[in-house]
Amino acid sequence: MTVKTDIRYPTDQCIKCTICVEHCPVVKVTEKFLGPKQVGPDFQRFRSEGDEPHDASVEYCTGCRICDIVCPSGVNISELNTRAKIALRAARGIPVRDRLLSHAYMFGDLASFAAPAANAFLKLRPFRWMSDKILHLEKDVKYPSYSKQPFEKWIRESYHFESDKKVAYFFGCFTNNNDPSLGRAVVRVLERNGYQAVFPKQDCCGLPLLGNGDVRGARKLAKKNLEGLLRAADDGLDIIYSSTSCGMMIRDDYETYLDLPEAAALFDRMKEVSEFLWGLYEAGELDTDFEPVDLSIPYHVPCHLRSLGIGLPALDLLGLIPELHVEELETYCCGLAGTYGFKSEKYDISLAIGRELERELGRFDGPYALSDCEACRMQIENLSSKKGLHPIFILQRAYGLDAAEEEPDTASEQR
Amino acid sequence: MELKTEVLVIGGGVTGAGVARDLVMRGIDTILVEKGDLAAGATGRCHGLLHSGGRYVIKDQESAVECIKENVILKRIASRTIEDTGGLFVSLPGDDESYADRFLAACDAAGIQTQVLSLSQALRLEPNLSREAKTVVKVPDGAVDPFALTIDNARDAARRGCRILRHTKLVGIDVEKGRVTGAEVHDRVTDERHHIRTKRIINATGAWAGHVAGLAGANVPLTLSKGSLLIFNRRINNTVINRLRPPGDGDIIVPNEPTSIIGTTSITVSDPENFTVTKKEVDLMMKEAGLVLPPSAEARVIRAYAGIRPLVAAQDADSGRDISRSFSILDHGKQDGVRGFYSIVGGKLTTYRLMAEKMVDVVAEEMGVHIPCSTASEPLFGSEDGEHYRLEDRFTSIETVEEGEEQEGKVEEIVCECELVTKDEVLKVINEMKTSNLNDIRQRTRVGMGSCQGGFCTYRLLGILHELDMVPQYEANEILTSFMEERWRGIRPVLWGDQLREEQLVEGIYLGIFALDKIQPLGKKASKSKK
Ligand SMILES: Cc1cc2nc3c(=O)[nH]c(=O)nc-3n(C[C@H](O)[C@H](O)[C@H](O)COP(=O)(O)OP(=O)(O)OC[C@H]3O[C@@H](n4cnc5c(N)ncnc54)[C@H](O)[C@@H]3O)c2cc1C
Ligand code: SF4
Ligand code: SF4
Ligand code: SF4
Repeated sequence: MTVKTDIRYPTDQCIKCTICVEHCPVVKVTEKFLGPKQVGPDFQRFRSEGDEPHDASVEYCTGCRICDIVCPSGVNISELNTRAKIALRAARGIPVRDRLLSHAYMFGDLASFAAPAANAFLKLRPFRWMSDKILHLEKDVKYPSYSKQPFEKWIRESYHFESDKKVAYFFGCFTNNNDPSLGRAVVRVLERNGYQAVFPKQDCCGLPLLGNGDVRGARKLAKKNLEGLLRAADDGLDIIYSSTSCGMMIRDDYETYLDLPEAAALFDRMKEVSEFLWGLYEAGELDTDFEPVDLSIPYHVPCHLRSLGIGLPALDLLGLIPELHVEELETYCCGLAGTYGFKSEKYDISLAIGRELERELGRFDGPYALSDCEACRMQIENLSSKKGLHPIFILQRAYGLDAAEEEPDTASEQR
Repeated sequence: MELKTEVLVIGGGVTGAGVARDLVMRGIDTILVEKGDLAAGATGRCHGLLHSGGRYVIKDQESAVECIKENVILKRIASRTIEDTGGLFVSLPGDDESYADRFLAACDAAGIQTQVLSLSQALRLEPNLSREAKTVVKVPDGAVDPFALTIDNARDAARRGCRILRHTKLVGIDVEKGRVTGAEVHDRVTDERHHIRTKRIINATGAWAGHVAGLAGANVPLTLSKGSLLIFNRRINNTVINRLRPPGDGDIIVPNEPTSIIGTTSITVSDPENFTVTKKEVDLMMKEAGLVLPPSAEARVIRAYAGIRPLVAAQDADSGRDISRSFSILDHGKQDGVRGFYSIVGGKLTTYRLMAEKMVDVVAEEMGVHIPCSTASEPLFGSEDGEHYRLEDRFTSIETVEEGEEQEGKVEEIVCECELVTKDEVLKVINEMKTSNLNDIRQRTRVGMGSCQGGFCTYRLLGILHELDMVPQYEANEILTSFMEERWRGIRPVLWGDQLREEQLVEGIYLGIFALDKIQPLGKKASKSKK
């Protein structure tokens, strides 16, 4: 079911078929990246431990993991890339800019406290100038805006549903700080099906830190998260997540990169929210009393959903809604890839990767586009005038639950 | 064409190249002829171990002393071609532990530095080492690239005036009144014959030495011993691993570029050219490797090959007495009544320089040249800075992308992805050598020597040659198929697991996409008629 592999010697397994190169979204658009096969199994034969790595081109891998999925030999290419990136960062240090980007969760708390001010500051010319010239942050990209009322605050103040049927919810820092309406939608949909969400103690999953080579930082966060998550698992609860990246990080990467073998106990417990709901449907337990939703919406499959190897459960679920027409786009990586697209040297590449998605989106008239990943949704908004929605919002609407809900928080607001 | 020289050296292995360099360094006019490419014989088919002497220390102190002295010299003068890996001698349960004590004492006596390591120290150096290891001794072994070493010697000799004729075979030796007067050579590329006037010929043709001596009516009694080796797809070890026990089959594993090589066997054969690696040898080596480096049992093997050792039957004439038994210098004037004709056979890659020195001492004396040998102190062209080869240096040749403000990163075009060979490197060789011979290009760049054994890059290479207008259409297929055939010969004995899957793909391209089996060989006739 999953593409998780246990390969000690990936270089031996690669037969040079080049299928991974054919599918890598980055290779297609830039010569700066030598491609998954080259920086993965090929370079691996030349990397020796203890010496400073020279293979800087690996920096251009977005970590989308498409290569892992398509490789007929089961080579864990993206793992090789990530490990090489980590080694490179360990040798050369992590730039301030990357530290800043990967610590967004930290100033998340602060920023929501003063959300209007923070949002305004992000828009200010001096910030723009500083971020461009000093930090090499891309000034043309939209940054996520911070919400005044983080999801956690809403839980504390407004969530009251109780039930014997419980499920643990890892909402992640983005939902908490930037898109709390998603969290609210998730708990309402659960509520409608008789499930009470409980919230294990949690922090950022650590993916942005890992993606920028800060293993130690990522591990610290992971250990904090594991405490709560393992307890939930011990209590026999399923753990759902509404961010494919968070899920992938916790389910697969804690063990693979962070030397946390105890995370393996979570593997069977972790369920993507639509996967969970589809499970209810298959068990005949999902409330399918849907109102028709007369929309035609494109759906972009996030890379990290693919790499979870759980199919496309959101598509299955949405297929149950009358009159709704959802079209799966033939797109791969959107190009934003976490913090990748925010870096000025990668911005053009990120946009170039996104071209395909942009073209596809252009075929649709409606105001929305769907994707389960927050970065994809941001990129959708970067590339088009459509609002990026998590599929759960549509479900919420079909249940007639959005009447009480204001418009979902936009993934990002300002230029 | 008529050429003239003071000394003609036959054989472009490491010995011949070393002899030629030594000759020109002593101001002696020299021509070197090699019937194939440099290092085409045993040199290019050896293990690539820069011996510390440890292997010989108990049975043959003299050889051991030679090795350690040369080891130190080569690390300095040929640094570019040597990776200073260090080596371990490892005993396993069942090995005679008293051997270890004798070993340490003998190393002391021979001047080979040793250090006994604890298992945890050893594992830090060599994570794949068997946890069962009993005694582990560190020695100053190294890994040497035999192609590069030979080529550097030849290049250095050429810069000093030596003429080097590759793909040129010695086919006749003129002897008048008991003295060499000249030789007949055949240029195999142009199919021309040349006569070379010379009074002295040094026969450094290794396994072919008996045959070549026969051309002069002289005699080199040889027994040919085949040694087979297996190449792993990656480095299983970082240091040279030897078994701490009396030398036997398959008990040395040498890291080489991105691979590890295990060898060897010792089987008597009759022909220096036509031989195969047997399944029995393969099985034996896989078993031995698995004992000392357990992960190797599952590791992918990309190639098997063999080299031929020329073993000189005990000589009695008063030649070579003063020289170690590990190599033989034969003065055929004294031995067979052919003055001016000498043979140098046997020895080791590690001791090639010493062998050359001794050989040239004999010839120089006969010529009345009194310039002393300086090869022990003068670095080879390219190794002046004394920097050893490091595997990761290969990255530097391909990547110019740098972090920072200016992202003008440009990545070199890569021809062979497995071995990180850039188009630039290939072009350089083609231009310098004026060659369209894929094997020549391979030996100088490692193109086609990686995991896929040329299954992908061969086609790219041909494309480059075609772009340069270097292959007439009617020759292209032949160049392609013969290169692939040669690669295939080395893969056949190791077809299992991942390499089998690889081969299926490569074969799919070869047969399915290009239908190369359907191609009618045009042969030499067609190419000649067009010239
Ligand atoms: C399997 C094996 C493993 C070894 N491992 C090691 C090791 O790990 N370390 C080490 O120090 N030593 C090692 N050796 C020994 C080492 O390889 C040899 O000592 C060394 O390569 C000998 O070089 P050479 O030049 O004398 O012979 P060769 O390299 O065989 O050179 C002879 C050359 O003569 C050419 N020739 C033949 N006939 C003619 C002709 N008629 N006209 C023109 N040219 C001709 C041939 O083409 C060939 O290139 C190993 C040997 C073998 C066989
Ligand atoms: S993870 Fe994505 S970007 Fe990176 S090499 Fe694989 S396919 Fe390419
Ligand atoms: S898809 Fe897999 S086997 Fe094929 S080249 Fe890429 S890593 Fe190697
Ligand atoms: S992956 Fe999830 S928890 Fe991690 S940074 Fe992103 S939103 Fe936050």
